[in-house]
Amino acid sequence: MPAWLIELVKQVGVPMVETLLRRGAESDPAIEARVRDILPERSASAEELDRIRAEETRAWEDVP
Amino acid sequence: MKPLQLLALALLVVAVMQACRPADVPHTRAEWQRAGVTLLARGVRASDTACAATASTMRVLARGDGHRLEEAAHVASVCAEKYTTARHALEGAEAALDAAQGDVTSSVACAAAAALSAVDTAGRYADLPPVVRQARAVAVELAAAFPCAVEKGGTTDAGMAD
Repeated sequence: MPAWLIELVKQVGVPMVETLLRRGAESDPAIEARVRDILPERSASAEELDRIRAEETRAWEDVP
Repeated sequence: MKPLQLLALALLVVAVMQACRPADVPHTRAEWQRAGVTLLARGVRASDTACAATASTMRVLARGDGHRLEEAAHVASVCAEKYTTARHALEGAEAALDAAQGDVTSSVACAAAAALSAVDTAGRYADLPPVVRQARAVAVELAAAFPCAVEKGGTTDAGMAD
């Protein structure tokens, strides 16, 4: 067992670590997804940035 | 108790522990690292979502005020940048694990550092859900245990069964 895992077990306990890592095990269908499936290319914050920029544009257009 | 009896007892304990271990818990170094990468990805996504929600609230509250909209844009922009960096690093670590070539441990460590940066940045602007705190704990330990450097030759992860 690597040192980082031992330290993690000390901090949060064996059940929590098992729960965390079981989520990453191949037997969990929800976790079989690849990184690109979990993390879409366009992030939520990037989408929000687009909305903010659009509103900024409208705000400047409204200035007489 | 004689040494042979002690040895037999120790072997019995090990055998029982192996038998009781849940089948779906990773047990090789690569499986542990892949589980870590996946958990980090989930943490990065959740933290980005929380950050975007904060930026969205700021946008609504700005009510068209250009300066306040700029503040909202700053929050969204910083989080989006950190997300992109973490995403690339996590995909790189996953690719290294798939290929089982090169310095896999360093790739995982670099991904952990990038994920930690993304999560902490989002945490400056938003309350983060429990999954992010869990992912952060893993990222901290991974980043501390394994150096993020290509030159390292995989000597830092000795002791973990392949």
